[in-house]
Formats: sequence, structure tokens, C-alpha cells
Amino acid sequence: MYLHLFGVWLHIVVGIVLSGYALFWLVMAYALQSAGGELQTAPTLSMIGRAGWPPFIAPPAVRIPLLGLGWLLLAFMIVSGVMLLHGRFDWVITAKVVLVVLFALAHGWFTLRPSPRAALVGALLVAGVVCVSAFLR
Amino acid sequence: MMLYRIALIAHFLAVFTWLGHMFFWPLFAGPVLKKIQPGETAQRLRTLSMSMGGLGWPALVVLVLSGGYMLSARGVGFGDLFSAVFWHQPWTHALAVKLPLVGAMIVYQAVIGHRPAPRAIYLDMLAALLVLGASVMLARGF
Repeated sequence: MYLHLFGVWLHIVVGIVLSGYALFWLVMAYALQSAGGELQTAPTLSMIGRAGWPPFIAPPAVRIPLLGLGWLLLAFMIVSGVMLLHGRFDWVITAKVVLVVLFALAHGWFTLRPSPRAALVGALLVAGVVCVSAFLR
Repeated sequence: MMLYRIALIAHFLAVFTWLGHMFFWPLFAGPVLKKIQPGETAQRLRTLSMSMGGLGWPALVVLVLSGGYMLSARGVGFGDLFSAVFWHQPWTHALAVKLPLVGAMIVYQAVIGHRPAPRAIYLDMLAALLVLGASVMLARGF
């Protein structure tokens, strides 16, 4: 029982980090677009996406690109979400699965062609997953 | 029931937005942006990344209002919080952990807020993790 509760807690914590990740790209994309100047939106977003994390402790070879971190977080959410299901399946889970698949597609779009619109779609889909989660029993 | 669900959605959205910002910026985005070369670009990007500040207070208002409503919908009045009998019920133990920590986070927001506080932010994150744990216990009826 406590292991299940710990799993739920971890799923929520990683979900919160993933929400922050989606919010970060949204803020950066629109801030770059409105700032104008020498920093062009798409190339700058790509450059940030290729920057490795963690930049201080880990050697460069094992650092995860920031965009790769999003994929890792998403993979963790999917695996932990499936493990927490225990075979249960209803309309809420179906809606979550659809939104998560759409988010994966939107994130693929953002990874290949970073733009404010792709960031907005990704952030809205994350918000959709959060809203649907309020209907979980 | 519908109003309860709306309050829950508002509560979730406020938590995920506020804590998402609280966790992602200092732990992931900040260190990555700091190391971008040249240094002037890094500084400019960090400034741009902070262009959406001021999430804390609006999120806290939504959390306190929606949380208060959800407690009242569960039959918990404000006066109950000062009753010893109320706190002897098993399910209130998680609430006894959650509410003081939420209070501490509000104090943090008021006193430290957006000032640079590299160590205090980790305490705030720890409080947030404990609040989430207590919330999971509450939702599951512990």
C-alpha cells in the first residue's frame, strides 16, 4: 500500500517537473519572439535544447540535452503511469493516454522545429493531462 | 459535485504551474542557461527566462481558495481546525502535516519571494515535496 502511495507521489512530482519543462519552453519561445534582436527564435531554442544537463557535476559525455530530458521525463511518466494502473481502464485513462500521445507528437514537432506555436501546443496538452487527472478516482 | 471538480482542477493547475516553475527553473533551466557561451548570450537568455515572474501569489490564492472550498465540501469548517477532537481523527494526520507546511511556504513567499536565496529555495522545495506527500495521503483517505 505504501509502495503504491510512494509511486503516486513520484508520478506527481515528475509530472510537476514535466509541467515546468513545458512551461519553460513556452516562456522562452514567446520571450525570444517578442524580444527580437540578434537572438532568432528557432535557432536559439535549438541551441538551448542541445545544451547539456547537469552542466556542472557530470562530464560532458554523459550530460543529457535539455530536449532529451523532456523525452526522459515523458518516458518515466508513461512507465510509472502504466505501473500505477493495475489493469484499470476507464474514460479518464483513455483521455490521458490520448493527450499523452498528442503531447509526444507535439514534443517531437518541437524537437525537430522549435517554435512558439509548438511550445504552446505542448504546454496546453500538459495542462489538459493535469485537468483530466482531476477526474481520476 | 461539479463545483468540487472545478475546484480540484483549479487546485491541480495551480500546483503544477507554480511548483513546475519552482522546480524546473533552479534545478534544470538555470544551470543550463548559465553555461551557454558566450556569457552575454547566457545572461540575456536568463533574463528572458525570468520574463514570466510573479506566479507565486496568484497560485497561492487559487490554492488556498480551492483548498478551503474542498475542505468545506468534505464537511470541515474553519472552526474545526481549532478543535482537538477534529485532529484526533486518523485522516486528519496528513492534514496536520500539510497545513503548517503550506503556511511555511506562504511565509517564504512573503519574506523571501523573488530575492536571490540559493539555500532557502531548497527548503521551500522540500516543503513542497512534503505537502505533495501529505496531499497524496489525504486523497487516498489516510
